[in-house]
Amino acid sequence: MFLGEFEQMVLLSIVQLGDEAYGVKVREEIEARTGRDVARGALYTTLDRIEAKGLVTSVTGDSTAERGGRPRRYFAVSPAGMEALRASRKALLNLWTGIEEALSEQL
Amino acid sequence: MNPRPVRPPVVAVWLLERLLPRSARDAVIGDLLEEFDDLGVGGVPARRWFWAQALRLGGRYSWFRLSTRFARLTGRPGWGEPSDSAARMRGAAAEFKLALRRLAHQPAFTTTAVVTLGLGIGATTAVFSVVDQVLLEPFPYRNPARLVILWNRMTERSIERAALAGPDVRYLQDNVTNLSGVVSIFATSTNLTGEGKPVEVVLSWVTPNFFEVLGVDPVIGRNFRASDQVLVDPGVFEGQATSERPLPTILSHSMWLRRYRADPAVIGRLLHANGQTFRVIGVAQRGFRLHMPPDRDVLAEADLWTLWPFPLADMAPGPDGSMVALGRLATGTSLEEAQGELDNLTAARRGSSPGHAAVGFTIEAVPLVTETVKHVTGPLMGLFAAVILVLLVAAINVAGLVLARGTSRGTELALRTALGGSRWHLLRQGMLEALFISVAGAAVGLVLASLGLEVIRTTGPLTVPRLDQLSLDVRALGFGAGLTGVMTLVVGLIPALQVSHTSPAATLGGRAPYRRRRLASSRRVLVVLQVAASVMLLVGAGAVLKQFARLIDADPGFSSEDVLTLRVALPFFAYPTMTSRADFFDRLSDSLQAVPGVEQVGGVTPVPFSGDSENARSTYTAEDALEEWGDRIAIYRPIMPGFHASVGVALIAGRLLTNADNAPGTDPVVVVDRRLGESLWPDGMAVGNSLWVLGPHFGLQSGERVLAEVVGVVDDVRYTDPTRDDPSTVYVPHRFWSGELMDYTIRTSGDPLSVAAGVRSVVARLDPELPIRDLRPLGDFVSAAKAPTRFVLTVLAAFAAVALLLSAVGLYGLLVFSVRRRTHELGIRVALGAEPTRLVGMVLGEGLGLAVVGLAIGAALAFGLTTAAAPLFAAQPADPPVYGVVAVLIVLVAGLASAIPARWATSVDPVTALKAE
Repeated sequence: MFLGEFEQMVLLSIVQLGDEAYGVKVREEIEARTGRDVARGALYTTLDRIEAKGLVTSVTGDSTAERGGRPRRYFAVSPAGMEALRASRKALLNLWTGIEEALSEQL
Repeated sequence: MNPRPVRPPVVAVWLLERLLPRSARDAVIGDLLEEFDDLGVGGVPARRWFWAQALRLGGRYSWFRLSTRFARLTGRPGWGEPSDSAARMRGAAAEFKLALRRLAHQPAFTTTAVVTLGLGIGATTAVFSVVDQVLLEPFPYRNPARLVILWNRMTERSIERAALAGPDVRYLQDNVTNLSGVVSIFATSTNLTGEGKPVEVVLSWVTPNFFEVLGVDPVIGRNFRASDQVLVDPGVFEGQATSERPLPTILSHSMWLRRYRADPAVIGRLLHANGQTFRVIGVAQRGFRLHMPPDRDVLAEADLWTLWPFPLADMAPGPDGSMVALGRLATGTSLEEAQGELDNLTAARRGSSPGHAAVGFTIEAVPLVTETVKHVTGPLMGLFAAVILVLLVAAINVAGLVLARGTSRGTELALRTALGGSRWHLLRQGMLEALFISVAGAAVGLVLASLGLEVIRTTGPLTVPRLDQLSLDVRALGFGAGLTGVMTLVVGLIPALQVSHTSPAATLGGRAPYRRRRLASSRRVLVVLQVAASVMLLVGAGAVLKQFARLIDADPGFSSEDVLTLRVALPFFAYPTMTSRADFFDRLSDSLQAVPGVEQVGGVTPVPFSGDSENARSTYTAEDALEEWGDRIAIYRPIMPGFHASVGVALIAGRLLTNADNAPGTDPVVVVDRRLGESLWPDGMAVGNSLWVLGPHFGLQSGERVLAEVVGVVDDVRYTDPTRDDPSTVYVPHRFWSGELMDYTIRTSGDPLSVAAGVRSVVARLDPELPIRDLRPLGDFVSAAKAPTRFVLTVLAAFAAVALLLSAVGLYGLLVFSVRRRTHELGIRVALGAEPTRLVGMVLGEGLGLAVVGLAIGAALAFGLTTAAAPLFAAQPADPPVYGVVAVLIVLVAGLASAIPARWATSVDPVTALKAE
């Protein structure tokens, strides 16, 4: 089973963010790096889904006043998630072998 | 970070708390609040932003939750769960196949259900099409609801719907403010010559604002303009009544197609008719016609429109049916306001003109749409109500079938439930089968509906507006599709509900007596409903049948046998004076009399039941009773002297009119009908007395009067409705008042149409350019007068028959079911020595009992409805004999439907029956 494109983006940005990976930051990270608008609903439901699949784990963090006393939920990529990312990358790289030049010429 | 204390919308937060799942709630709301805090803008924009985010999040999560729940229910993979769409497709295909196979294995059930539904859907869709396209679809004019017909009401003459004369139209155009345009239209028929074969056309004379007021632009060319108006000095009217300049004209679309093969170069062409030249300036929209009440039909059928070349003030009212005035309500004006202004204007007119005061001149503005369809609204809505009843009966039948089938499938369903078939799965199967049945039913219905529409289009009464344009359009198809959907639900949900009540243990254990009993009682209710609906339809059909019988029995006072009618409409350009018209009519009469096979020639305006309104009315007064009776109303009919003899109107006293009475320069004499004679001279001394006849007839001006001697009394004749008396008639020799129209009545020695060729050649010899309109037997008019009632009767009777048949099938099915259910009990009874007659009585009793209950309910409903709605549908309520006949019919049919199951009951073999369970 391969990861969907958006799932990959979410997982990768969680890895990039390290300890700071909670909803707001994940969204900002994806938007900053891909230049794509991310719908909050899509992000949160994807987070729920990949957590249900065991690709990420989450812990409840501290609550602050600016959040109305509601705690943050920090995500981390699980070993299974890392494995899925690796498999995805490998598959994609294999597929890309030998065509990068051709494609860049066309581009 | 942000010192401003911007508070997030509390309600939005509250909403999110409700919509988000607990696991995600705090983190998501917290994130949103954090972003809100960091937003850097305050006040309304920030709050609006928060609301937008909250709604989108909430929506997303709700959808997510719903789809997950649905997935769990269906056993399908939910959102994000692994799925195999190929397997799913295979599963769906298998389910389709299974449903089809099951239906194919029960051909009797499937066929009955499909045909029954097809009948219901087809009939309802067809009638819906008629109602929709005749009554509901707006006329193809701009804002048609704002158009009004302006009727000339003469309150002192009891005349309701006369045409507005030219001078009054002119007066309105100059003075009215609540109408944005007033149009006058009148129609003549004429022969178009010049290019190719002469062709008879209906020429509609209009004021230049005609198309503008209707709000319709031509397809090619242009509309009339005020500057197009060519005015001919009315002084030349008596001599050469033509304009030297061509009159601008706009062709109808069908004329353009027919005669000019849609050639755009037709613009600018010159046409000729009776010495007048016309120049084509435009072609009207496809299908454009003036929608008119049926008695103004000649106005609706124009082939070309052209401008009236004389001052409006000189436009004399022609034969009533050929003239009308229309107006458009000014923007922001209500009908009441417009009527109020009209009342003021007509009051002023009455004040300044004695002629207007004498007739009680008023103008009534009636919405064009209402006026055009009002005569069919009642019957059509009645038919629609009837077809809904048919649909109800059909739906009940199918529901009953499904219920019965469900019972026989009880074991199967129970087994499947016990083996873990989910309720959803069984429901889906049921819905699939229902879908197949109702879609097949819809296909049958579609065929039936288009057949039905074809029949209605060709046999429907011509007085129904737009009937000739009927088609199964998108709206009708949509309606049919909607019906099909509803039927699917009805048919599909019943087994589903059964499943939900199925207790596998009880069913597989062999007994589910309670459930079956409840099922039987719900079927009983359905059958009673069916019978009730059938009774209502039968009572309705019976009432119309009685009405029709009255129509058949009615004696119109004349005989249409072997009478040919010929309508002659003289073009006034060619026959401008009364004398020239009278001379022509006489010459034609003499020539017709010489045609072989012709026995008697007469003429009248208009011929009975021709759909034209009364020609004109005037007042009469008895000379020696002026003080006593005052003014009264009679209809004046100019006739050719042979009229009464030609159609067999009985002479009661004195003599009929002769050619000598019609000679120029004689003193006016008249013949009156029996009622008039008796009311004026109760001692029977009408003949020899005289009537004062008031102008504007007999060449008299309005207000003048002349004495006319009554030389004969004839039997009463009904001209407009075979069942109703018209106002009394005074028959006048036509020379004293010749209009442009004459309907010749030609009695023949054999088949009336056998002299048609001779009649045509005589007319062509006298005036080659004269169009021949309506050369047809008088009997056609007589049967046409009965057509609307016959049509309603036929459709209603068909509906009632279908409903009765379906009810019989429903009752039969129920009793078979009931006998089967009681096989065990019947077996015991037979074993214990029960008399077969008792068993028959038991089953018959059940069937008849249900029928009688349905009969009572249906009769009560029918009585209540017809009493309340009869005026609405312009019908008479049914009388006791109708109810009696319906009751006998229902009991008979119910008895027949019960007889076979009753026989089965006696043939139960106790051994088999007791072994069966």
